[in-house]
Order: sequence, then structure tokens, then C-alpha cells
Amino acid sequence: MKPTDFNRSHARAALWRRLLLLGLVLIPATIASQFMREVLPYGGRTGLELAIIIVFGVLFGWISIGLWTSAIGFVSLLLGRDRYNLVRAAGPPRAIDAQARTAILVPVFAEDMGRVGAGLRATFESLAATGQLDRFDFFLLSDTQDPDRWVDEEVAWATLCRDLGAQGRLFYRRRHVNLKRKSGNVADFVRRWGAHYRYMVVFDADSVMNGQALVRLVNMMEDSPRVGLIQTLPQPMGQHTLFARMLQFTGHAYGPIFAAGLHFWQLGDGPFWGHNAIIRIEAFRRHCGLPRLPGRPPLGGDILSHDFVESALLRSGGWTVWLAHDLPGSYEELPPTLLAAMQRDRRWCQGNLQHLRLLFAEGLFPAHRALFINGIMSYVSALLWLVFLLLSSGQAVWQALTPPDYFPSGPALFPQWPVWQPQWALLLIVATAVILFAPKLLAVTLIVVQRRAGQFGGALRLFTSAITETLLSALLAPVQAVFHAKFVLFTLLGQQVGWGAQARGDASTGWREALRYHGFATVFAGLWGLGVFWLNPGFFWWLLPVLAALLLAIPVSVLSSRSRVGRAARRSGLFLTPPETTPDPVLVSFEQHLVTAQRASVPTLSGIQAAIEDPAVNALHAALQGLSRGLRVSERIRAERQALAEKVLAAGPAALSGAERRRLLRQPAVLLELHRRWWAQGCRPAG
Amino acid sequence: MHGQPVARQYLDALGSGLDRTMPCAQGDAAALQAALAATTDGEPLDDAWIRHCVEHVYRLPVAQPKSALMPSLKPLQRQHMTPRVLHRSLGRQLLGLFVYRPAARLLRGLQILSGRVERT
Repeated sequence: MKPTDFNRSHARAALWRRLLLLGLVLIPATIASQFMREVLPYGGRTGLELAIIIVFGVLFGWISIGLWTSAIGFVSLLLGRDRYNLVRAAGPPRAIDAQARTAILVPVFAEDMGRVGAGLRATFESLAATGQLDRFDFFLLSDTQDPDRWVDEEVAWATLCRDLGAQGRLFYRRRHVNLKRKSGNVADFVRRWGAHYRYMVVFDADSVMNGQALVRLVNMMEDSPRVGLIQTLPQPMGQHTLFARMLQFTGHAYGPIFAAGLHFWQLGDGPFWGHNAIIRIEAFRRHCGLPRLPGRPPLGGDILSHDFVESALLRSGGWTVWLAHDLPGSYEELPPTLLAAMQRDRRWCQGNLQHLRLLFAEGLFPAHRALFINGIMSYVSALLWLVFLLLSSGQAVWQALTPPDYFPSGPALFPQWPVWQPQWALLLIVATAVILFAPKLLAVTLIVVQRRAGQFGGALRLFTSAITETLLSALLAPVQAVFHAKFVLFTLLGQQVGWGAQARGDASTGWREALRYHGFATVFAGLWGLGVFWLNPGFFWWLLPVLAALLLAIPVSVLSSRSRVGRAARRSGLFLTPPETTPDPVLVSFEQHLVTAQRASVPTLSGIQAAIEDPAVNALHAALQGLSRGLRVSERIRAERQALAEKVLAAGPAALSGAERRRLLRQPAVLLELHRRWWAQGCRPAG
Repeated sequence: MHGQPVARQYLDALGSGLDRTMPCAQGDAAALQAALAATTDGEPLDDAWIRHCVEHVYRLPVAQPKSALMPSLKPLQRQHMTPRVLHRSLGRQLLGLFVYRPAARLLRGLQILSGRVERT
């Protein structure tokens, strides 16, 4: 067989595959809509019923995309025959050409540097073990604005350099202005240092990759010079709360077949998920300069979900984008709690809805327009589910309150009897349930058939975990749908999201916090349930699964956020995943570094206090700024800075505001002199 | 901290990376820095101290204390990111997708058929 050319997108094969998907989605959705028409008493002849049928048809089609993607992924992995498998074609890791230098970028924004450092150390050491470390450099690209965290980042970076012997290989850069957020941060790197490297691997602050995976990614890029980007499938790791452990299990058990299915439809028009991917810098530089969208946020301004747009731009520039769905050794962390996940989804929702503005942009490939629609529907579908349920409730209430209309289409010779068809409704429910749950069943079947159940603690534990996950996700899905619906509405109404650090590690939700975020949905579900039960008790039972989930939202959110519950689940063998049963050495190393960082004694001085008092931190910070900074200034500015130093000497560093701290930290000469005077007065405020 | 000579405290604050055996007679931080950095004639104290301290504590070479450490590690070679026109209004995007570009393709097809331009 002729080896596959990954420089081409294989448009013909992709077209047939996508037409197949379209047929698989549209035909059943049309049939299901027809069924729904038959279920409803007036056969879709009233406006309300017509709306119910349309919304149901769209939703049925939407969820069946997931089913067919998983089904095709299942077949692909079961047969193990994929002509377009990038990883298999590249083979085992090979030596990298000396010219093919790669930068590993770690963009950070007010992150826990203990966690970031542990990931960096593990990746660095794993790469060193391959013997090809000299082909890679690491860049810690900070957008942190908090002055205290800024100093702590500098110290963490310098300590890492010293401990790893990474001088000249691990660099730190902080931007003073966060133009275009993370995409601007990476673009700034490309402009400044991109010319030194052929490739960049973009990490998230919680990413870990093993050296073999990194070397193989570079090998794949070297083999196919028209490949612009290869996205890996990051596997979740290191989770302790029940919520995150459940998601982690989902990622390991169900993720592979879904990703294989995505790869089957997308081929060379693949996605970029923003991290754990290798990018050809020259292609990125030429095609991925993102504009600011006109108008005000949320739909205008900086493009938040920049990754989707960047992959679309690379593809339209003639480069192929592939998903290496079966490349092992790529890991990420997950939000620890439901509320943390929703906080992240709020940002993603706004970013994906911004793609409405780019849907018809010139030069993009249809596959990437479809990816934009897919991203938009990820959130809009939640709103549609709620609309569907509310319309159905409205129909039930209307049915209970109004006498039957035997002539809904106007004057006619014969009356039309309004008839409910509960047996067909049941059939529709069963069909919907099959679509929702079949991917899970397929994934578990594949694991058993491939004799990988041992990686999940054995077949019994695998089944128990899958059933528990199904029950828990049934409880969580309506709650998430309410959040997503709210996000869509808020975004469309013009409310924008801020840019905060993402919650990572163990962070539990308190009862008060849960009440604040889930209280409204709980009360709403209570009133909704009572109203429907009072007016149409028969319909109430159909709604009960959704209402019960919303009524239980507060305890479920709190209990699933507890790491104690998650650890107990792990001890009993629930939600075990391959990295826990057969750990990758890079993850063992990461865990060890993380524990060491957590157990390390908290330094007595940190932040600006350290920059003023600690001689080494003071000198390091001044060195990073450069002593020539801030010398050519007017007398007035010089006097202002001096006043800041006097304020510290009189009242201590705590007396400075955030803005004053930032200003002082940007004056290395003043800071050096302040350090000496602070020591001269015994390291305490004169006042 | 209090109760010890300032010089000893200062050396302790620097950690084990520096020579603790040096005489601590001069209690002034500036004098200590000058002694530790062993400033040469004409070199400003700040420059010498930064170079000495950062290299000894963190083992990071500071070639030019006047310049920021990071860019001096890797010389700058600025390049431009090429921006794409993505900010047309929805109406213009739709016109482009369904009217202008199909019309342009049609026109080009007609020109090729009539022999006015060559197929490339």
C-alpha cells in the first residue's frame, strides 16, 4: 500500500466520509421528528407543537453526531486499520536534525508556580532521558499582572534553572501589557524569538508531556513539511475530587473512540485545542495573526477561542492540520469542581459564540466552518434542551387548561381528535437514551475486547465505574445545561467574561457557594415541578429526571467537589484510569515534584516583600529588568518613584497599593537602593 | 533576626550559596555587597553586585546587567505576524460567500471559455 501523504488533506476521502455523516445524522433526525409529530396530540398543527418538533429535530440530529462519531471511532480502533494514522506512519522516535529546533511554550497567568514547576521539571527530565534535550528550549511566558505573583514567578523560574541545570535552555518573559490575552502572549513569542525555532509545542499551565511524545511529534512534522499543526489528545491526570475523577475516567474510557471518530471525519482539516500541540512556526507566523473583532465584547474585541480560528487559518493557508489521537504521553489536568468547570465553560462559551462573527469569513474551509458551528452548538444546544422542555411543559399545561380543539386547522368537514401517543413517546425516549448511552457502551466494549480492562482495575470495576459515571452525569447534565443556557443568554445580551486564573488542584465547593450558584435553579425546578404536577400530573413523571437533578444540584455539587470523597472512590477501585494502574514515568516524576513543592516550607518572604528584603531576590529582579530601565525619565517621575521608596521605608511594603507595587518593581535602580536602606534601618518600617 | 549583627543576618538571607566566612565587621549592606562582589575599579556597585549575586545564588550568567536578562539570553530577531482580514461585517461576509465570489468565479469561467484569458 502506498504510504499516506500527510501534506495533503485528502479532500476526496474526507468528502465521502462527511457525506456519510451527514446522511447518518439527517435521516434519523427527520424520522425522529416525524415520530414526534405523531406523538403530539394535534400532529404538529399548532404553533407550539411545530416549535417542539423543530427544536427536537435539531437536538436529535445534534446528539446523533456524537453517537456516529463514537461508532466510527469504535470500528476504527477495533479493526486497527487506519490509512491516515500519523503516529503509526512515523514509527518509533528517531534522532532529530540539529536544525529542527523546538520551543516548548508555557503561557502562565497568575498560576500556582509549584504546580507549573512540577510539570516543567517532569517534562524536562523526561526529555533529557531521550538524549535529545538539546533540540528543545523551554519558555515560561507570563501574563501575570499581580506584582507579588510576578516576583514569585521570577524566583520559581531561577530556582528551576538552577535545580535542572537549565540555564540557557529555560527562559522567562513577562509581558507588561496583556494584549490579546493568551493568543497575544504566544504571538509575542513568535515575533520575538520565533525565527530561532522551526516548531513550537504549546502547553497549558497544567500540561505535562513525556519526552518520547515530544520527539515523535517533531519526527512527524519533519516527515511532512506541509503539515502545519498536530494536535495530541491530552489525557486527564492527577485528579482527586469525585467530580474531576469522574471526568478523568470519561476522558480515558470514552475519549479514545470519540477522538478516533473525529479523526475519521476530519483527516487533514483537524482541530487545534489550544495546547499539547506542535505548530510549525513559519506557517503560524504567516497565517495566524489574529485581528481584534470590531465592536465591543462579548461578541467583539479579542478573539477568546483563538485556537479554533488559528487551525482554520492554517488550513486556509494551505497547511494541513492533523489529530494524533493515539499518541501516548500527553497529559493535562481538569477543573476540580463543577463550579470551576462552569467558570471555564463561561469563557469558552463566549469565545465559541464569537465564532458567529467568523462563520462566513473569506477563505475558510467548510470543515472549519462546521467546527465553528459545532463549537457554538456545544453551548446553544443546552439552551435548546431547556426551550424544548419548557415548550413541552407549556404544551402539557395548555392541554390541561383548555378544552380540546377539534378543528385546529380551521373549518373542516370532519373533526380531528387530539390523541396522545404515549407508546411512541416511549419509543422516542428509548431512541434518545440509546443515542446518549451507546457511545459509553461501545467504549467499554472496546476496552474489554482489547483486554485493557485491567488498566481500569478489572472488568467488574470498569463496569461499576461506567454505571456510576452514567448516573452521576445524568444528575450533572441538567445542572450544566442550565449554566450553559444562562451563559449563552448572558453573552447574547452583552455581558462579557473577565480573565481570571483557572482553578486547579484540589479546591472544594462550600455549601454557601453552592447555594449562591445553584439556588436559583433549585427554586425554579421546585416551582416548575409543582406547577406541572398540579396541572398535569401525567406529564410530571416525564419531567422528573430533570427536575430531580436540579433539586439535588446543591448537595451533588458540594459532595462531588470533595477530594475526600474522590479519594475514597479511588480506594474502592471506582474511576480508576490507566495512568493510575500503570503509571507513565513522567507522571510519577510529576507527582513526586508536586509533593515536594507542596511540602516545601513556605518562604518567610514572598512577593514584593522578598524583592525589597531578600538580597538574592532583589538582585534577580533587578537583573531581569536590566539596570538601564527607567533611567531616562523626568525629574517629576524620579521624585514620584523616590516617594514610593520613602513610603516603604516609613510604613513597610504592605502600605503600597497594587499599582504602586507594579511601578516600584519596574524601577530596578530604585529597588536596589531601597533594599540597602531597608537593611540599614533593620528591615522594619521606620515609622 | 534581631539580636544578630546585620552583616551576619544579611549573609544568612543570601543562603548557603555565598561565602559565610568573610569578616562581618562592616554592617552596611552596600559595603557587604561591595565586599562580596569584589568590585573592580570603575565598575558600578549595582552592576557588580547583580552579576555576582545572581550568578552565585541561581547560577544564571548575567553578561550585561544594564540589559534585561531574558533578551540578552536570546538575541531578538523580530518578525511580523501576518494578520488576516476576518473582521468584515456579517452582511459583507454573506455577500462575499454567496454573491461576490461565485460571481467572480463565473466571470472567470466565461473569460476562459471565450478565450480572453488563459486557464492556469
